[in-house]
Amino acid sequence: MTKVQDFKLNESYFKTLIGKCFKKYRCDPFEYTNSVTGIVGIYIDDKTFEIRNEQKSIKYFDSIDDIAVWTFKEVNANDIHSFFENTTQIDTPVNEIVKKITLVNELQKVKISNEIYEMWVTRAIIFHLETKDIYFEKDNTAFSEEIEIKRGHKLIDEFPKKNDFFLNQWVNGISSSVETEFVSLD
Amino acid sequence: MGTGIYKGGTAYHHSITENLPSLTSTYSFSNGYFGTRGDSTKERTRHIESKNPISTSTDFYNKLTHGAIEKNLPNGKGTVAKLADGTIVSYRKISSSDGTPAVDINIKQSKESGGVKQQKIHFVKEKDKK
Repeated sequence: MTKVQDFKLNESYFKTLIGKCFKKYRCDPFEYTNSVTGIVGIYIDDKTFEIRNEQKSIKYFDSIDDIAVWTFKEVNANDIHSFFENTTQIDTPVNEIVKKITLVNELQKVKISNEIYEMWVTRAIIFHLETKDIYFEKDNTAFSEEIEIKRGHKLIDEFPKKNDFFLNQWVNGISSSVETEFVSLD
Repeated sequence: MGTGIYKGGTAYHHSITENLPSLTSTYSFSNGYFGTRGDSTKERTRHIESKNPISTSTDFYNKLTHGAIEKNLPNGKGTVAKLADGTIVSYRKISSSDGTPAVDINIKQSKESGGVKQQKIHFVKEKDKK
């Protein structure tokens, strides 16, 4: 018997962003790494969206664990705040039209005893803009609330990335695999 | 973070390898993992038993993050610390899954973790010994 959990981000939200102006994103300042904890605000045309990656207690394959679950939703412009006390976030201007969005989804599979578990997770959101790409990537460490942010060209070529955290977490005798799906929205 | 003040008043930003000796002299450490696996099918979910889990988890976290840059989560929920090598450690006195104190060690962006692997450690009450 196969048990399926689906934590993919909803494509329909992203389709509406094609052709709109990606004005800026707001997050904590980088400290040593190009990742931030828990929250990024994205400002597209006159709307604000929150990318949130926050630990919750959920069924994680065969047990209940503290797992970071990420969500994407529209919020009010003033709803974007740091996860931390006494931290001032910074705005990074972008000001380019969204030409295309790619959602990088992972299908994580594991067989434990006679049960097959499958979990869908969106690993990254790639915004393809006029002159560059920007991606927001969920840390593959299941409990991590970090969101990696990167700007550059042809960033899609970085994927699929090997998910060592998932593949190497199991005790001997349990088999696991990861497949990657690219959902192109334009 | 970014204040230039390091946890424990150290003069510089520590990395995980500098803090490991104080941990491994106190806590069980084998094959990159602390404590024991418990009942889980996942190697990365660990247990450290003690008579006082809050006190033990605080001691473990403080040793692991000595000289780190630390930030507080709101409402006393916990802290997150970054070490110089890129290791990120988070500490919650009450984990949402089972209510125990928990320390997460994320070495994904570490340049040199000293063999420490990705893991989440729950600090659980020591079972009565007969």
